[in-house]
Amino acid sequence: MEKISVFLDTNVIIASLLSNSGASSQIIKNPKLNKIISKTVKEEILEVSIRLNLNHVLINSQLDKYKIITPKITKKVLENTYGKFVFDQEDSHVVAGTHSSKTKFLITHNLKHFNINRINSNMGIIVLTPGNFLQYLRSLK
Amino acid sequence: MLDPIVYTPEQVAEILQLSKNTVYELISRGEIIAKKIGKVYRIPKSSLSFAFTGMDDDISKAQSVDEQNLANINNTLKDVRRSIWKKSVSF
Repeated sequence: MEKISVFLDTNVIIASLLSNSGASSQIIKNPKLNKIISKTVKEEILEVSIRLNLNHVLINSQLDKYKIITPKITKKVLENTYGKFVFDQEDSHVVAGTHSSKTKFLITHNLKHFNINRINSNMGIIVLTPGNFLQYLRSLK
Repeated sequence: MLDPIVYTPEQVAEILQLSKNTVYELISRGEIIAKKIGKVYRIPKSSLSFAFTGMDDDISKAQSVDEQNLANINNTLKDVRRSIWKKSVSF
């Protein structure tokens, strides 16, 4: 079966670093997924991990497993094009990253931060929590 | 700790919108975990996790594990996201 591509929000990766048994960790460890993040998400992971005193060796070894894209989208384009998909402009880069990566899934713990119906109807992207995505994967078996 | 809430096969049929016979079939196939007490079955709430959370019990528990850390992650991430938004011109 072809690998499924997913774009991961920062909170999913940080959650996977904090617990080995959580849903986020199961996604990170799944070899059948093509895991994508943006350079901005990577920057956030590194900064959050410093503030939470997370293991740097572990983080760097994890970052090697992701495909990191660099959309190079300006703040103005983010606001004008992707602002309508979020309730806080500062989250818009996550939607832009997902759209640029051409993946069908955005995995995040914060569904409330995104206008998931509009994202789905305008771009065909499905926004799911790690748990809901794991359930989807199970439904494919 | 044991989950104190149990259901009859009839109640489960109603919850899952299945026939009673289908519920008994799913019990015999092991797809719904039930306990036979005498001649009747009782089904724990955990077996019906999908109906309540949209996730199987193991996945629901894994999601809950993540959610225990979420407040801490979100508070930190909000600050970090804001500072990156302020200083960056390209994303």
